[in-house]
Amino acid sequence: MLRFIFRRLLLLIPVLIGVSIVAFLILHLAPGDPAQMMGGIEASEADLIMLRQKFGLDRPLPVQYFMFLKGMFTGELLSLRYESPVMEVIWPRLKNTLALASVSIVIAVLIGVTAGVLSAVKRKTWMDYTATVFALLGISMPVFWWGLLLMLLFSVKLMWLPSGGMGTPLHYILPSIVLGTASAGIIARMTRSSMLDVLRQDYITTATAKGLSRRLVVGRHALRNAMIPTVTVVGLQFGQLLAGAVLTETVFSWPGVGRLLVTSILARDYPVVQTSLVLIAAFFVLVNLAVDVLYAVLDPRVRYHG
Amino acid sequence: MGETGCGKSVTAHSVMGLIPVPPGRIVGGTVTFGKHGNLLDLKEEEMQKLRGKEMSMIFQDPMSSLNPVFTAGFQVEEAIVTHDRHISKKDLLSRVVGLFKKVNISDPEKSVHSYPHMLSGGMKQRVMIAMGLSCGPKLIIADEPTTALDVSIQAQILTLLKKLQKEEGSSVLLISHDLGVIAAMAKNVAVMYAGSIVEYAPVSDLFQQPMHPYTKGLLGAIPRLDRDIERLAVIPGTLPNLFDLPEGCKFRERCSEALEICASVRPRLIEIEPGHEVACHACARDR
Repeated sequence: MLRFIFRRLLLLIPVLIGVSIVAFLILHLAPGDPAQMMGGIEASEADLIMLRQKFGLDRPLPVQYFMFLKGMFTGELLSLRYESPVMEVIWPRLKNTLALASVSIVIAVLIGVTAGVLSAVKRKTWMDYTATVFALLGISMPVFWWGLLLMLLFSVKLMWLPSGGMGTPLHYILPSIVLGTASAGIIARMTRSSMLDVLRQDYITTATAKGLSRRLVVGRHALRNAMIPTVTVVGLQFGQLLAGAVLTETVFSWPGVGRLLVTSILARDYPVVQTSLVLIAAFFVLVNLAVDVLYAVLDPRVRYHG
Repeated sequence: MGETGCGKSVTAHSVMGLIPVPPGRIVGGTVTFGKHGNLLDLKEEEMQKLRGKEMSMIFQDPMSSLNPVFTAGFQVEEAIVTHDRHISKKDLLSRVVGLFKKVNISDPEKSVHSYPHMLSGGMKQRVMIAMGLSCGPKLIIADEPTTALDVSIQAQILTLLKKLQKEEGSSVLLISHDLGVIAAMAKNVAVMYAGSIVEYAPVSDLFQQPMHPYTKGLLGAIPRLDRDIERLAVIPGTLPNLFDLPEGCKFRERCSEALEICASVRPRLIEIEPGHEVACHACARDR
């Protein structure tokens, strides 16, 4: 198992190199001149040349790429906008996004799994239909609109919760619900279908024939098996939350990496954008590794060989 | 005994209250079980206390009837703990190891910690039998316990079941479509056709003197090594549509002895000889 984890960590290296190349090329292919953005409209041609020289933007692309790699490892890479090391710019915001995404995924799993199990056990009753309708609504509702609706009700009308920013645990409630809604819907649908499949299995009849209560049959024998496919979805959803937090962060003025990414793209702040993308990709891969490890915990038939 | 789809398993599952409701439902009749009376009148919680303790079940396919994510030992322990909450951890383990020994599981101390996928089909069925025996039930329902196993393992499992039945003093309700298995195992036999029992008799009477035309047809269809024949004997026709059963006797259209009354009145089980019951107008008339 340890060898398996180690090998998967080694695989991170080629993945991250790939991500960094793609991020680098896409940014440099896109139109827009960072020097012009920094210097402003009045900047003279001489100013622009000086700025480009200062940040190495006049060098050939391969050289710029290796400068970026080297700067990332030594921590000397500077943000074009803030003129401070990129990690100092990104890390505090990435931490905020990670916190928000973690709270969201916990909420999404709690709601999604509960709703999924209930609608499978109470199949074709009003409970099942209600859960299905809400799951589909959750999946298809645009994030910014849903966020604004909640904000209108809880912050503006009822004045129970803050409308934006972060600081207290209360600040987490609205954004994490909004961010996790779609995931909760997807998890609910997935749990429902895998639960329905598991409930038809012979070992469920065996468990009932032993004299176990319905609660134990569902909660112990069925749920553990039904969780195996659900865990995959949860892992993928967590990656989605990291990458897709930008809308929620914008609506709730959450100082996260999603918003940083968007503003940095607009400002052509190449080092920040590239480093953020590499970091987000790294977390995505790590979460998927955690999912694979969790498989082996849930299902004894899964064994990894180094 | 009876062919596929004649209602053997459904009947057994109904006795245990294992038919999922909905879509299933029991529309009539009674299930009388010792001092507990009619099981159909019991609440679900009362049935839970009986299941596993007073009556247990061994299923057809051991490959799918054990939960893949729990160890074999745990699944047997669970059956014991459910009905005896005060048992200590140590007693529990030694009892499960003892059960595993009793059903001839190889290396019982190690096997209790094995997951189902690490055991062979025969071993899994032994685990199921150990689970069935764990609380000393009065009735063990074995629903085609050997159908999914190799022939050599089949014989081992049947011998084991017979031996344990004698030792434990439990009744065994064995479901099978295999006449050889029935002849070797049973004391009394109920033959089912299209959802109802058509003949009930001690095993020797049934094989020597079958009365119902369906039973006669079944026994007549067994190929024999010592006779040279061109074609195997068959029962003509096919099963009636179970969703749209004909009026009168369900076997009438395939029966060579059918009378006029068979078309309109469904025959009931009548004792024709001591201990030998048949549901057939022709048999009743001949008496």
